[in-house]
Amino acid sequence: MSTATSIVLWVGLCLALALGILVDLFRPVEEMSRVRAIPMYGLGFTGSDLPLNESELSLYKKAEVVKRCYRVGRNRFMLIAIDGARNRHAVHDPQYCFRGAGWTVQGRERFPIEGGEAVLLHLEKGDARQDVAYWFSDGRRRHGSVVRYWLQATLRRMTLGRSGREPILVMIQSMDDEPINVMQIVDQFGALFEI
Amino acid sequence: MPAMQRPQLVTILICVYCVLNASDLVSTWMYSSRDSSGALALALWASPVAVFWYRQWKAPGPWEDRPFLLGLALLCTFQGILGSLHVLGHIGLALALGSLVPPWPLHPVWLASSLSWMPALDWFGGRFFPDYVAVVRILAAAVPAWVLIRSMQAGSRSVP
Repeated sequence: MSTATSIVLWVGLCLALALGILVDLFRPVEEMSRVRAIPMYGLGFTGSDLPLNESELSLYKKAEVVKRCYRVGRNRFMLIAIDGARNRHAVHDPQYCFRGAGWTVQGRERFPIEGGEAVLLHLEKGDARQDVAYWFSDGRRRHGSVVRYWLQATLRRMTLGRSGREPILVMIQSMDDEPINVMQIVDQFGALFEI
Repeated sequence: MPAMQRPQLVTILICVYCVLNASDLVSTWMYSSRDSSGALALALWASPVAVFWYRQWKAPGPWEDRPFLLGLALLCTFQGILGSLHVLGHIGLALALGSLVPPWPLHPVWLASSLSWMPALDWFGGRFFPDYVAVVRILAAAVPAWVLIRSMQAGSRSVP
């Protein structure tokens, strides 16, 4: 390796170390998280907070998380919203997580929601079945693509927050394996789109 | 006997930087039941590096650092930190380790097979061949590494 190349590498390494420290020190303070924008009560729905278990607490760490049980009409379901602005690694691909928890994905479909589209997973584990719907929302646009979420979140960090708002993962799933009608929930529970 | 030519200090430091910033792999292997075979895959995949340097130690030969790969490794790892994206750190680690082996003809194939030990393979493979991810992981790590080691041995035999 020539001396010039060696110098370039030394400069690169020093810059990477220095910029890494600087970015960490001067990372812009995140605005108030939008995950709590969904009201607990309203016309036609009631909700209550659910506690996070130990493994969830260790997984989410600094991320803002809302885990609630809601009843909308005849549907009783769990809502989980994760804002990874302070811990990007708290947000995983839901399909990957459910597979890791022993569920088999029997079907996967996309369906339209306000501002974009969501993904509906049909899961099975032994005799248990459940439906899970999820999407990523930056407050205006919504989508169900994990790759797009990674690109958005990564670009946002690389531009120090200038590329847009942090997308939040919103997930609704049945509780105690009770069947739910996801389409009905999305239609009747407009507060979901407050995030 | 000629002294062994070692990598330059900057090469070693860039490798250490990449290793430290890919340390999330350890927790992934420890806590994810699906990814635990990744540790074995990394050991298999990185075996040409160990074999090459063992041979260098036993019978010192010429060695040239690989600044292009090192620069890419540094860039990927730094972008991974900045963008909070582990997979870039893993690619950085693969490039840094890849820079510790001379440019054999099969080197690019072996480098590409580094995907075998990355958690990204489980994410990707889980969609298409969920029951065979561990097998694919081990085969994809072992076969190119074995071929690279064989070509190193063949190459050294042909050198007078």
